Amino acid sequence: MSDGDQMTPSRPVRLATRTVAISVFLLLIAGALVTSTGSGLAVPDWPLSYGKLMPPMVGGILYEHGHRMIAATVATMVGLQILVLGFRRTDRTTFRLGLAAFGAILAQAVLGGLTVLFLLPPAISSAHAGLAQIVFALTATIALRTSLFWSRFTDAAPRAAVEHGLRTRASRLALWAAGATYVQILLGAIVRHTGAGLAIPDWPLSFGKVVPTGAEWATDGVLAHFLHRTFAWAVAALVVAAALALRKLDAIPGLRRLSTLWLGLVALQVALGATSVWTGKAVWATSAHLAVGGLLWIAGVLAAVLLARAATLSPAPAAAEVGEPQEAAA
Amino acid sequence: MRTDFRSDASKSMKTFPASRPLWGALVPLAFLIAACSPNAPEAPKAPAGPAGKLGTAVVAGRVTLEGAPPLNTRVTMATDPFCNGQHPGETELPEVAVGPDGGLENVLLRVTEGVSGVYAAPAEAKTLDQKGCAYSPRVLAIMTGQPLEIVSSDATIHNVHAAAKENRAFNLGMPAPGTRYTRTFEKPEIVPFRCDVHPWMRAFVAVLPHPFFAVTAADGRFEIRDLPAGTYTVEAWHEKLPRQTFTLTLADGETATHDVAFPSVPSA
Repeated sequence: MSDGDQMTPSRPVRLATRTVAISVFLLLIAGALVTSTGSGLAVPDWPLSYGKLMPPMVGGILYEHGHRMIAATVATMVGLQILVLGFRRTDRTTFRLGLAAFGAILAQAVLGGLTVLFLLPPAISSAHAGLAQIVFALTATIALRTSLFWSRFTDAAPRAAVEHGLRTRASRLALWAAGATYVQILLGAIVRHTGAGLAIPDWPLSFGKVVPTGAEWATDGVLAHFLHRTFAWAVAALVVAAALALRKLDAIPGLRRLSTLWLGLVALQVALGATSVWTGKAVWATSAHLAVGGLLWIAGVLAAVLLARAATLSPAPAAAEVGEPQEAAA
Repeated sequence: MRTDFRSDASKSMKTFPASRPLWGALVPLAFLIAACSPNAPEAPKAPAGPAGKLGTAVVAGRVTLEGAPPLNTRVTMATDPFCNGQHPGETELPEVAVGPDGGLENVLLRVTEGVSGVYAAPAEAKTLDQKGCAYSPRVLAIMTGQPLEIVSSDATIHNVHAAAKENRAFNLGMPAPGTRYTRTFEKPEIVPFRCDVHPWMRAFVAVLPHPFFAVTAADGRFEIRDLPAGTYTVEAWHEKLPRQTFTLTLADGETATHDVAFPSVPSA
């Protein structure tokens, strides 16, 4: 195991890590369906379900126990991924990411159990939602680092004629956009788990106004809901700025496509947020809103990881090379 | 200690093995966590203070809905074959249940002002059943400390989730017909009950510190008995309609009649 430029991982490794990342995404959707259908407490016990491994899959049990079954399968896959990464001698960082993903998904299972046993306290349920996105980011990064694209990127990035200042700016914007998206996901989790999804019943206005007034603020959930919908515009602006900055680095392979995907996702996510309100929290709309939020976050994480990789491979030019004053000359 | 999905009466039933490899690491932790779970019954506390008095006055009347009944929620129960068999096709939920002559069912009438003293809870339990994938009754009133027996008559699985705020909330599994639990509530509040397996199932258990309450029957009639002479404020509570109150003064042995009319709303 090394931490430098590794050999291109074999096809089974690439397939395994990609499958794990996609499975984690499907698990996120399954979790979204549990909350969106109000099935979070359809199974009152944990880790068993009505004292069994397999209760009757009726009503809300289908969603809650289905989520548990998918989670158990995905957790096993994330565990096996460590073995694959270890035996196939991937680089040390990727292996460590694999360990972190397994630790995070086990912690995630415990949070899932806690939130059921304590009847869905918003703090624990929101932490469960937030940690899910960390697991997704870890597995997506592992899939990226073991992909053929990563190898090609490693070869091509140092040769790409890219101005250092542009790359640094794009890197900073990608980090800010990813961070803001994660904060927005946590705000969304609070809205979801405090039942504040329709606390403000209209969109884009709030109670027919730009900003709620007077007694409207005293209504349960209005503050969290308003923060979520207002911060969404800040996130959208950061994502657009970061995506446009990525487009200026089109000499580096893959960044232009990622930029287009990122812009598409942010537009779709705003539309789904609005649709969630307009449809009175239709199950499909709120679940899709959570899923696309996850993809938006992953796009930011992958952009940041790729730009960090490009910076490692092509370090900043020495001051003399760019013609800066030589303070210590002579 | 673990969270027990089984009824109080069926704890001698066999337990299920939990030692599958995947769960192996999590089960001990889960049991530890379950020890702190809020599902265990709360120990009843004896009320303190001077004893409240009973009298011979009665307030009776009828609750009606003025105007057209609102549109109740319509659901299909296709997610559970048993429930779907009981209620095929689309079913209207009895959120605002109005009889043919305008009588409004499931309205709680409770004295909110004028009662003093501490009243001992009856030992007799009241029963909340799950029958035909619905709670029966939908609105039930008990006294603080009075046993509430929760039973299931359905040949399907239910959970009983009491979303109490003042009392301890709980969530119990009702995996088979005949499952039975007994719980008490120590503080007054209206506790919403729901089944998360069948999200259309709703009930409301009003917990009151005195015996002066009634819930309207299908014809909207109610009767609050055993009131001592005095002046009282009575509140009429409905799960979907704005509360109504009235005040009246009663003499010993008097039976006063007071009807209540709720204004209709566009939809339930």
